[in-house]
Amino acid sequence: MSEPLIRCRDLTKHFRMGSEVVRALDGVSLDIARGEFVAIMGPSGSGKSTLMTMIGALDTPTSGDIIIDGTALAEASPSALADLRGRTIGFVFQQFNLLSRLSALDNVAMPQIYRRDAVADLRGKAIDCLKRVGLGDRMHHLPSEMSGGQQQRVAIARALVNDPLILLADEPTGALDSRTGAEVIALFQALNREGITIILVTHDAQVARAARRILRFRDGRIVADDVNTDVWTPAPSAA
Amino acid sequence: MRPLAALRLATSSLKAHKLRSALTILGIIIGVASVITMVAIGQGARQQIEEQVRALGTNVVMLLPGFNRSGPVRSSSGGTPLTDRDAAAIARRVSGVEVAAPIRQGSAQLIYAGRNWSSTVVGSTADIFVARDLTLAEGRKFSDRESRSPAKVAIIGQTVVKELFAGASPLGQTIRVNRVPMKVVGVLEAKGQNAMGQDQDDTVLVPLKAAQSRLLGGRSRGAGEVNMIAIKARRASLVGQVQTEVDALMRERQRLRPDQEAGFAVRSLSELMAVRTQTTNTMTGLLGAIASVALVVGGIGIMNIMLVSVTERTREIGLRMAVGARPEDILLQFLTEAGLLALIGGVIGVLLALALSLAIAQFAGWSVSIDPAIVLVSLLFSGGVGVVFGFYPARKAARLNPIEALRHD
Repeated sequence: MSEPLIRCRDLTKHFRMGSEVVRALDGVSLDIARGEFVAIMGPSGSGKSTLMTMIGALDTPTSGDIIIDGTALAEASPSALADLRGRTIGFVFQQFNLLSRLSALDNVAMPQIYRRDAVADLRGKAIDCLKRVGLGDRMHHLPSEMSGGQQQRVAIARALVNDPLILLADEPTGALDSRTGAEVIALFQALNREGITIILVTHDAQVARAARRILRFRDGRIVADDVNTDVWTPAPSAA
Repeated sequence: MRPLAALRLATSSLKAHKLRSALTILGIIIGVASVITMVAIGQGARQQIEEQVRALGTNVVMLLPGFNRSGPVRSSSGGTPLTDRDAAAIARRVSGVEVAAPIRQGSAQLIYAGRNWSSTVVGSTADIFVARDLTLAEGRKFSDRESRSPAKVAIIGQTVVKELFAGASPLGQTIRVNRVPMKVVGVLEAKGQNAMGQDQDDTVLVPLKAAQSRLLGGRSRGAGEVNMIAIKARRASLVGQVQTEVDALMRERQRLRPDQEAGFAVRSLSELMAVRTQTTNTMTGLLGAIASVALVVGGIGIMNIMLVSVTERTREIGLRMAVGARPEDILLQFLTEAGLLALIGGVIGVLLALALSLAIAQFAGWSVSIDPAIVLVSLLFSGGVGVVFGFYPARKAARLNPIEALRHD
């Protein structure tokens, strides 16, 4: 078997809350292969979001190793970590995190200014990404002029603009109603078919069923790692 | 991140908070404008003094009659008087002297065609043109024969022309100086005020002997007595040496013992002016220093607003880090913002300073001088203030933990 895209070994993360030590992660080991669609479920505080921030190189584990696409995060320089966040990984957040002053297109193009390499036609690339999420006709709208589902799709386009290998989505449907949530899930499935590895954190069992592999967390540990045979495929919507 | 991208980010975020940016910029505007204006006023004063020194005649040493000490009372009269023979001796015996012009001067009543005017009569030889840097506007100087005799000829200054002739040509006309008729043979070029604020154009130049015997003579003055001798050194570097030699020669001529107080004084004009120039420099420095305080306060304003901005935009910073911004990209973004605030303030401040200086020159009548170097230094300094005071907030932003920043409310 080839090297997994993401490899976590004995991850722990301890937070100090007053005099008490909270074990947000308590010995997590996990391999995720290229092209997988993984859902992570579990109650609040079970460590699933903490794992996402570790894999996303936004935070460092108290102990344990993470290797992403051959890069050991513990040994990487801050600027190598920034490159990894910018190029290998795309983030999708529950609250979208769009910049309210910028148009949809400028929001999508925002990660491009941090690239160090010369790329031809950055603008065209950003426009393509917006078209890919079905918002080719909303390029110059401000976030405040768009619906929640549209805003989340802008955020997904932003995550795609530097051609990431991995999409990390933390409760991407948490702020959406079920119909627009289903549209976003359909979009994730389409992207996964194109080869992007997707890791999705959710409370929602229905949303989790969109993935082919479901991990269940409790008290900082993985308590179940199942293959989902009953994949939910919402119909992709026109808008 | 490319500098251009940083600049675009900075301008868009400054535009997002127009009032706040404008007020911060105002602080820098006031700082820069006050530094430049204060220094301009100081330098203007210095230039004015330097011009006055030039107007007085460069390389000039004045020999003045000294004080006569009788008991505790000192007075300028009654000492050994200076004479035109002293001037001749100095010109002949002191090396490095270009000319030594004896001057006998006093006030006189001038009358021409019913108009009368009180002015200063200066009796001297043709050498005074060299010693005092005088030039003729029209007419001629005294001839050699006139210089040596009490000839009734006069060369008048512009103020006298204006007061007595009201625009008509004075050449060839006869004016009465203290009731003595004198023929006007020349008119002096305008010189303006001297360092003491006296009108140098309010003057009538006559041959020395005419002043001594016809116009200002009489009373107890001895023959050939003069008020002062204007000595011009060949070069500025010779002024000190000329002073020493004139002093030695005069002590010899007045037969003074080495320990005896001299009955005369040798003064270099540039020496006199140097003191005033130094005072002005001190004043310029002081004004500049006070104004710099305003600039520093402006810088603190930038720091304050940048700290607010970093706190407000913590989530944005976290997001930018999550999509690949390095700490140095964040640092650059906020430094550019601070620098841009300062630079905009600097440019407007320079323009304001130009306007202020012109207004001061116009309405207060002070002479101001804006040095391009000071403008450049102020601009660089204000940019520097932005970077220095922007650095702490920018570093604070760059050091944020991305995940904590993203979760910030």
